[in-house]
Order: sequence, then structure tokens, then C-alpha cells
Amino acid sequence: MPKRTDSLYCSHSCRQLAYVLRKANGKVIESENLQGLQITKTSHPKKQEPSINKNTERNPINVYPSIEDENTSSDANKLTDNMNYQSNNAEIIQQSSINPPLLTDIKSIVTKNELPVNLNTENKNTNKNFNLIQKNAEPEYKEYTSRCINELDYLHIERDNWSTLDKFFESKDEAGMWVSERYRCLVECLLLFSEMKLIELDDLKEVCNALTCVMQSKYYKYLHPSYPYISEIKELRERTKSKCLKEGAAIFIKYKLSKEQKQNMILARMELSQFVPKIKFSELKFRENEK
Amino acid sequence: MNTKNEIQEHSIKVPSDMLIDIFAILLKEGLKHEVVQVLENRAIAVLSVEIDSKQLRQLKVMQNIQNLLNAYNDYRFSENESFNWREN
Repeated sequence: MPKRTDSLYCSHSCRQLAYVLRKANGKVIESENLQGLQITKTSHPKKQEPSINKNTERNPINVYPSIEDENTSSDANKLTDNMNYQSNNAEIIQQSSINPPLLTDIKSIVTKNELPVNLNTENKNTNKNFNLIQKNAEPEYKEYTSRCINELDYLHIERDNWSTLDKFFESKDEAGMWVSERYRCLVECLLLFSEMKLIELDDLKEVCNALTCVMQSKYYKYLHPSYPYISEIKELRERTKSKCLKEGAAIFIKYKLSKEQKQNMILARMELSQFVPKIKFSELKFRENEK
Repeated sequence: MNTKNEIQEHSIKVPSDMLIDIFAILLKEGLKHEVVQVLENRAIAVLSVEIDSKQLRQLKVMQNIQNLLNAYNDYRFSENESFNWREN
């Protein structure tokens, strides 16, 4: 006669638990000592199943309560669902850890001949148990993005100057080249000013005068209407001039740009950097007649 | 047996525009960091970040941060930047 399988169990409740689990999925998870209850395997005795309770001493919540009988199907199903967490892959367990397992809902289940086992429901941090099991299976690293970069990317797409500039510079327009070299230089100077703690008002006036010279040049006047920075240059010059006038007789000032202004200037610099070289302010002539 | 972790110190220059984003990453990942220098006239903070080279995730985070800073640098800076605005 075959040996009784229940002779493997230490108690009536363990035998009942194994029966319920077999009904659910045919697997029994091997675990360490669960406060006197030991569940042994009924199948694949040599196969290593993931252990549920690495932490029974600290966290009594891992105790599997004894089960009354197979009629307590709802509770048993909850228990088997919890068992399934350990036997399934990391993904499922990670999903389930968002909603703590229902094991905590089972406060006490009394069997006919067993003493009630009360679960410690005060400890609500049940995720610890499942995270311990999955500690070797780290989630895939998801790259962080930057809000600043995302805003620049979005604005760059919105401006859509690259394709316009590409066509513009393909024609090797002399006026466009002349204005662009100077505009790139002046934008870089103003961006630098915005990042400095204090600047000399005279330096800002010098840059403002350079912008005025660019606008008064024939090159600016003869720019093709498709040139994307015509209004930008005008607006920048107006803003800089009003700032200079507003500061009056100050020697040192703080030159600030709004977030939007700075973003547009950063993008103008980046766009122009693809088409015109960087030339130092000290090496550029801003009056068209200067040599 | 506890093996000695290999701690590396990475120095990164973070422009003021990127400070919040970078600090958010460092705090979320629990990376040890400190501000070692502030370049007031460039609006740049120099941070020292400690990375355990045996932790793959920390290496990935560091690479992530470097990529973000490089992306910003591509937008904002030219190859040769000078403190003197006339020579810039």
C-alpha cells in the first residue's frame, strides 16, 4: 500500500492547508518554522521553492493560519492567492505589492481542534515580506528625465527654426550670415550676463549699442523675410535698451532674464551654432563700415 | 562575510537651471552628495557624489545624470567658454 501522504505533516492544520493548496494549484510552498507549524512538500521534494517567511521572528504576519475545512473556500482562496505570489514571477509580485496581500484580512481562523492563531494586523507594512523575496530581482532601471531639458526640447520643436535656417544658409545669403554671426555672439554675451552675480552697466550698454548697430546696418535691412530672428533681434534690443535706461547711474547691476526669455535665447544660440562659427565679441565689428 | 564596497567620488558641475532636477534624482536614489563649490559668476554648483561602483544601479544613475547634463550643455554652451565676456 502506498504510504499516506499526510504522514508528512506535523499537524492536522498543516494537512488541511496542503489539501487546499493542492486544490488551488497543486503546489505547496516550503517554508521555515511558522510558529510551530511546518508545511512540507507534497510534490517535487528536491525542488527548491522560494521560501515565504524569511522574517518570521520579526514579523508574525507571515504565519499561515490553520484552516477550518474546505468549505471556507473564500478564505482559502485568499490564502492560495497569497501563496501564488511567492511561486510566481517578480512582475506579478511587484504588481501585487501595490495592494497589500489579503493575508492581513485574515485575522483569525479557528479550526475545530486547534487554538486560534491571531495575526498581528498592527504591522501594516506587508510589502516588506514580498520585497524580501524579490530582493534579488531588482526592477529595471528607468531613466530619469529633466524638466528643464524637456521644456527646451518642446520649445525647440515649437520654434521649428532649424529647417528654415537650413534652407536660408544653403543659399549663402551674405546678409543672413553677417547678421547671424553677430546675433549669436550678442546672445551668448547676454546669456553670460544673466548668469553672473553682478555686471557693469557699461558692459550691458556696450552690448546694447552693438545690437543697435546691427539693426541699423544695411545687412539687417536687406534680410530676407524668411530669416527667423528679425523680430527677435528687435525685441531683444528694445528690452536691453529699456533695462539700461531703467538702471540710470548705477555702476553694477543684476541682469536677469525670465525663464521664457532665457529658454528662447538658449535655443537661438544652439540653432545658430549649427550654421555660423563662434566669434569673440572683441574680434567682431558691428558697424558695417568698420574694418 | 562583508566585502568592502568600492566608493567612488564623482565631481559634477550642475548649472543652476538643472539643480532641481539633479537634486531630485540624487535624493530619490539616496546617493550621498555634497556641494563642494559654487561658481557664482557662472551660476554653477559643483557637487561631489559618492557612488558604490559595485552597485550597477548607482552607476546607471550617475550615467543618467551625466547624460542630462550633457544634453543641457549642448543647448547652452559652446565648446570654448570664457569668463571674460569680450573673449567669449
